[in-house]
Amino acid sequence: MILCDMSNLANENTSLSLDLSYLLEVGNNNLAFVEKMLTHFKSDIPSLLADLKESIILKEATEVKLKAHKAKSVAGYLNDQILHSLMQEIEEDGAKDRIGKSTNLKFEIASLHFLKLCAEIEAYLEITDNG
Amino acid sequence: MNCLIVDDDFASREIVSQLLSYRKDVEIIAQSESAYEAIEALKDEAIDLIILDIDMPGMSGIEMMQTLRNPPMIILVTGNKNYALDAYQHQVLDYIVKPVDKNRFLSAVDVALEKYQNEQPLVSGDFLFVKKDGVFHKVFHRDIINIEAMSDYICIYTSDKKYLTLSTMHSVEKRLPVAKFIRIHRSHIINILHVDSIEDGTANMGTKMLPIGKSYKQRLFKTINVI
Repeated sequence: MILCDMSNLANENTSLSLDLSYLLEVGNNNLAFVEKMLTHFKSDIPSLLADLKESIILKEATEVKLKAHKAKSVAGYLNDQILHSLMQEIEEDGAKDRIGKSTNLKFEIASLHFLKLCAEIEAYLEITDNG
Repeated sequence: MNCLIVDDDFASREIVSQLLSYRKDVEIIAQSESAYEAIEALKDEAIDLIILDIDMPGMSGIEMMQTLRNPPMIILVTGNKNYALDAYQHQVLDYIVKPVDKNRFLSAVDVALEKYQNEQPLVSGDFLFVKKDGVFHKVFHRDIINIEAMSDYICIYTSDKKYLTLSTMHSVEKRLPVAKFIRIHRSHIINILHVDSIEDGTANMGTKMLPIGKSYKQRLFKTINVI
């Protein structure tokens, strides 16, 4: 409970919209676990987005499906419903082999959202690094 | 209860691993990034429960289940709700959609634990019965020197007898005390009491020299008493 409050404080102090409730719940409020996961997301998201973009451009349906699926998991772990829905739709586009302009548009929106998320993750990790 | 986590996504494996750490009776034996890797792990390890993702590159979790002849308990953890029918057909223990709800997941693990404990033999002693030619032979643990996998059979060696019986290494490993018996190779389980020496990836047991598999070395040295 105390740890949970600490995390809330971290969010309040920096006005971050990063939702860590799921990770805190899974980790039993263990902040080390949360940081480990965020550090992974921070390094994984950029390459994941680059790979997904490439697959969308090349219209590789199966790859789009798998990569969007993976990105959807990240969105889920960070409780980001908008991003989760966007990735779900891109995944379905891949599954139905219907990669088109709307897929691109959904990706662009999701990409911006992800970048914002990455910046927030970085800010959070900086705060925790500085104690 | 030995558990294998199969998921191509690192974060998902970490989440599941963290959740399993809340159950002290569960040991994570291996984590696999693909179904192919998991199938190999299943050949090497006695796994009681698989936490299995479905959407993975190469071979999906559903396809993997179809390759297993005698599958352990399986909890499917997936980001997709559309596989429920497949899951039902494969008689999986549970089907959980990501992001995994902590309580829901732990309830499923508890069901697996209960099932596992119920499947343990009621009569426990320092012996087991081995069926050979229609007769059940009582074999004391202390008399077993080693057990060898032979295709669909296993051969249990004592100092003066051998019992060839239709079974799997997984099945016999589960029935033997972990303090005395250890798997040293995909095809060999040894009784530590009968080991004379260990050298250069070999366990010497009387006239027998049995190979120690690379992936088993660490666990072997953790188990035996080394000064």
